[in-house]
Amino acid sequence: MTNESSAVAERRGFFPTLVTALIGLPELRCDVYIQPEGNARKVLYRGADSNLSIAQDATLQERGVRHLFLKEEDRERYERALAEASPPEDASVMLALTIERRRDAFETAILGGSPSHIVATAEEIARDVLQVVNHDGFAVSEAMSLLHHDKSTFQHSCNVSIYAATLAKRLGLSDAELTSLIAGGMVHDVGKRDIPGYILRKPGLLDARERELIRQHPAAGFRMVAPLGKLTWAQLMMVYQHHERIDGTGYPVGAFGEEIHLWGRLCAVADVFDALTAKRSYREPGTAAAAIAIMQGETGHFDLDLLRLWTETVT
Amino acid sequence: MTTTATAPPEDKCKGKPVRHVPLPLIDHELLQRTAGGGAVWGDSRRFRRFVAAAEARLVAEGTYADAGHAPCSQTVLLRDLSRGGLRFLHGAELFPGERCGIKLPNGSAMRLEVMWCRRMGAGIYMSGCRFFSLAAPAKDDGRSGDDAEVDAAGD
Repeated sequence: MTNESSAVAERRGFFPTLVTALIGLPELRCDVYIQPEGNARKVLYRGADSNLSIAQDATLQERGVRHLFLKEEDRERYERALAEASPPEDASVMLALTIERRRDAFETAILGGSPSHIVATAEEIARDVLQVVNHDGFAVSEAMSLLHHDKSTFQHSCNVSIYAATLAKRLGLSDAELTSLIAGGMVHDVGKRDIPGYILRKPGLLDARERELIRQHPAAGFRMVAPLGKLTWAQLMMVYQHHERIDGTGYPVGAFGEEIHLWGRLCAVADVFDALTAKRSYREPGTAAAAIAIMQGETGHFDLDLLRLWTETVT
Repeated sequence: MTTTATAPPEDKCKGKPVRHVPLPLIDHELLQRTAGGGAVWGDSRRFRRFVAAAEARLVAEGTYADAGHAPCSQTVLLRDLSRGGLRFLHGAELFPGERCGIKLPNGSAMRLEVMWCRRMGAGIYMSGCRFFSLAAPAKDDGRSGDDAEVDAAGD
């Protein structure tokens, strides 16, 4: 451990990182902390000079530990290690590195960036995510433990992109189309950035005014990114139509059946699946099987062919 | 209602002919349901809305043509209009932010921006648009002319 006491480190703050990402950074030399369950205080897990291999520590997985923590002062070193990491052989590690590399840039763009900046960031992420989806060892059912660890805008957008691309790959879309679809998935909820956070995070039922605000986000997002002229019509339909339902009862238009663009229908399946399997403050993440059961019970919501294909993919 | 000196719309967009979508068959029930109202007590809209039930010719300007969305022209059925904008029934979906030219029955031509579009039945949509090439109308109730957008956009 470094000379600095852990109490000082606690005051200066920590940031979380995925355990799986640290496995892909064996050269990273800095103190790594763990937060034991039920304990607000983080404790040293591995010192900077330790040879303890996170990859070989089976106890982390047994205890269900997904995050470890680094000190804020080590952030620059960590980000440099992320940028310089050689492509890992393991698909999960590749996914974790992609998430860690891109999360901050995307969250920053969504919070305060211009629509152009958001789209440009989404396109950069799309290239990384395509590599993950195309990795021979990638299986969405195995990746889910990495994907549903939080409900940040980045994580939800990233998950929807990965799910939609996995489904689209089975439909035979080319790599160029998949890259475009992933970028579309990254911005599908861009209209939510103007909705107050307390509404988005509200655990209970929304009132009528809040529901109306939420219902405006597909059109608001469309109006935000369509004039840029940087997205294809298919990508724009992911933004505009991902809350449409196949029976015409969705919003913002109430489009029916194939009036909903294929990419809009793909996005709807991915979006709801992620909502049902994501971690929430009031419940643990749902399983893939439970999510599929709920989606199959939603008569008239989804394109049945896509839902069938998705069921085959994740179960 | 004020009109602009804009040329009447043609069934062309950026010099190229566009597909024309005729007015769909609209049943009596839908006509009744979408009938525009005049001023209603307590209505907070900026401008009084007037009932309209005439056909007009709408030509999209190809706002999203570069993204791959082909513009079209269509015959629309006006339901109501105000100094801020108008609502109409039509047969091809329109998208928020799309700009169109419209030729009204009195011969005047205007430019519109689509604020919203809802599906009303098979092949039938209703859209709300605002006039965007008009100068801000004279104030008649103390509010800013920019409120015209809100009036036209309201469901």
